[in-house]
Amino acid sequence: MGVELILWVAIAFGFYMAWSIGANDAANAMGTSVGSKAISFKEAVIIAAIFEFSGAFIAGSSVTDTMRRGIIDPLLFNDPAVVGTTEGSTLFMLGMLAALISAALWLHLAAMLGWPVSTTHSIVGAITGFGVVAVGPSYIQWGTLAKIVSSWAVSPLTGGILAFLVFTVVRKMIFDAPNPVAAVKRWSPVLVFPVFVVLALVIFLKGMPGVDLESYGIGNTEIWMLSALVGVVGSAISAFFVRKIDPPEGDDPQLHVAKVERVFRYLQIATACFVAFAHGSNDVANSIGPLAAIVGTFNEGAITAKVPVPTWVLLLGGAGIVVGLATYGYKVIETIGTKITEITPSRGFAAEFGAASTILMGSQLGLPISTTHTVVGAVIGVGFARGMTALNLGIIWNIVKSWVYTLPVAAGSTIAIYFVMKTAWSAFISPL
Amino acid sequence: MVRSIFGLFAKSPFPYIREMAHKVKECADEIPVLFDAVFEGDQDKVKAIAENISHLEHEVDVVKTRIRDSLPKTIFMSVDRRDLLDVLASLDAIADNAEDVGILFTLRKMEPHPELVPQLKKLVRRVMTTVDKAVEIVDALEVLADVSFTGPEAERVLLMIDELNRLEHEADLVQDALARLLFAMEDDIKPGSLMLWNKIFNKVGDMANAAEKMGNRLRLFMSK
Repeated sequence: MGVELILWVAIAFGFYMAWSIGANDAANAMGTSVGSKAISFKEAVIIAAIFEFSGAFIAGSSVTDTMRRGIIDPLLFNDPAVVGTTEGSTLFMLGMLAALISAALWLHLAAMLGWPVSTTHSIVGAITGFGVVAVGPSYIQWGTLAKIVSSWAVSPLTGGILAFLVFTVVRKMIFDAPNPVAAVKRWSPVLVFPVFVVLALVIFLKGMPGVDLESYGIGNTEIWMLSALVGVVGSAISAFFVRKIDPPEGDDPQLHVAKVERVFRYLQIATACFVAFAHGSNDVANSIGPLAAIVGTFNEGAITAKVPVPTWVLLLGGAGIVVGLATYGYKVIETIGTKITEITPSRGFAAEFGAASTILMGSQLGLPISTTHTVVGAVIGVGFARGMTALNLGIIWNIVKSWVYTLPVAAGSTIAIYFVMKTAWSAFISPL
Repeated sequence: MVRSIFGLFAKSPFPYIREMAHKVKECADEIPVLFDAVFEGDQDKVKAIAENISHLEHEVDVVKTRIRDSLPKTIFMSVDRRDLLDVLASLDAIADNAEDVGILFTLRKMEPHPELVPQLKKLVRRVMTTVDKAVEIVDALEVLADVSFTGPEAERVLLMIDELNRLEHEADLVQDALARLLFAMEDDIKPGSLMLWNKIFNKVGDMANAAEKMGNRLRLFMSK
């Protein structure tokens, strides 16, 4: 027995972590679509499973930072003067394992309590906790952490403002028009263009960190051109479909609104698929990052700053997300599908498009944007655009609190788990 | 157990307000029946109807309390919370006044003076038209909430509120004429009767006033 033990436990908990992400986050990504009854919850599970998995597997990172976002320099563990032992790599693997376990437990707890917390923040908090006790607080990049804390405000605000703008534009252009159905026929191809451009950009720029586009001769210019092409194609397809819609007889506003919402249904499904894809490709790294670090250290026998992610690890992460969604996210989505009535396809679309654009902007500007936080902000933004008839501010406050808890809770539990494992390791396997 | 970000949505109060308005209408609709019983001189029937109105008024209160309870301070709505509570209060006032009319008629047997009857019938008709208009406006609220209280639908409702104001004004005119008529015959009428009739006119008229007030509160939903 030796370090293989850590590897096997890490594989188990890596899967558990992916499962928690599937249960917690994937449900959020599909939530507005199900809430607005654009799709049934069964369809949501199927769509999310397909897109989350393909996002994770096709576009998930093939290389990942061993220490998420550079909280601490992993090479410090090779230095006995810092960690106080020559067994730095074992210490590192134990720490990564502790971080994995603690982040997964926190996510599971949050999913049970109904808190949409960020998986990235859970992992960052966990790694920070481990870093503080293993190498000392002076080696922590507190600036990086401050940036993450600032994202509590940045992500929901940006998402909220964009969703607010999108909803306001949609309302002015379509719902306030004298003939909303005619307006949606005229404007939807125009509206679809930026939507598909943004979604394509999200996938290229944010959703495919693992695919080396440069090696296919795809630079920035090509990405923009390809995205514009996707926009034109989407626009043309929508023009083809809305052509067939007949305005209802008379001007009963309810009939008009119902027909318009049917158009937004399709737009919302499209955005939901893209968000699920981008989410899978991004968040799979959260579940497998520490696992990849452990696998890499195990294979290399030493710690490196960046480690390749083996295909089987990606598969494990993708499968974990889907299983989590099917076993636990299923319940979440079902609750949403039957409980929410206050969101319509146009509002859900505004929220999801606002969130997708924010994620894109964040990745372009280097802002620490969290998908979860952005979606929450976007939903509130649509509410403030007088789109929702009632928003529950008490719940919003609870959610914000849960974001603040994430870092210290993940850090604290990592420290506890790390000490227990380190002690057990020294007592039963080899002194550290 | 699972609230997640979907707890962000609270239940819209508008379907309940609609329910309340229809309860109010049910209650107000007893007023013409009550007057018919008075004109027939059937005091037992008057008492039974007054009791029924009282019962319906209580049901209105129950719905109102439920709506108020579902609007804790932590709910953000597309309309001002105070305006919404004022709408509830005005709706409630319609039922309250109807209840008072019923009670006034049970205090003593009222003789239907032949000169008063046609004018009374006219007043009741006018007031009922006003109340019906108010309920019709509340029915439009749900759709209006869906389109954020703007656009052509809002314009349509604003016109309906203008119409409501006009109807209330007409009810007022009839009420004034009725008061004049009553005091013109003050020598032929018992003082108690005089006082009660005057109170009854006022209460019936107040139903229309409350309906108008509700409409004006709703107008605030659409002002930005």
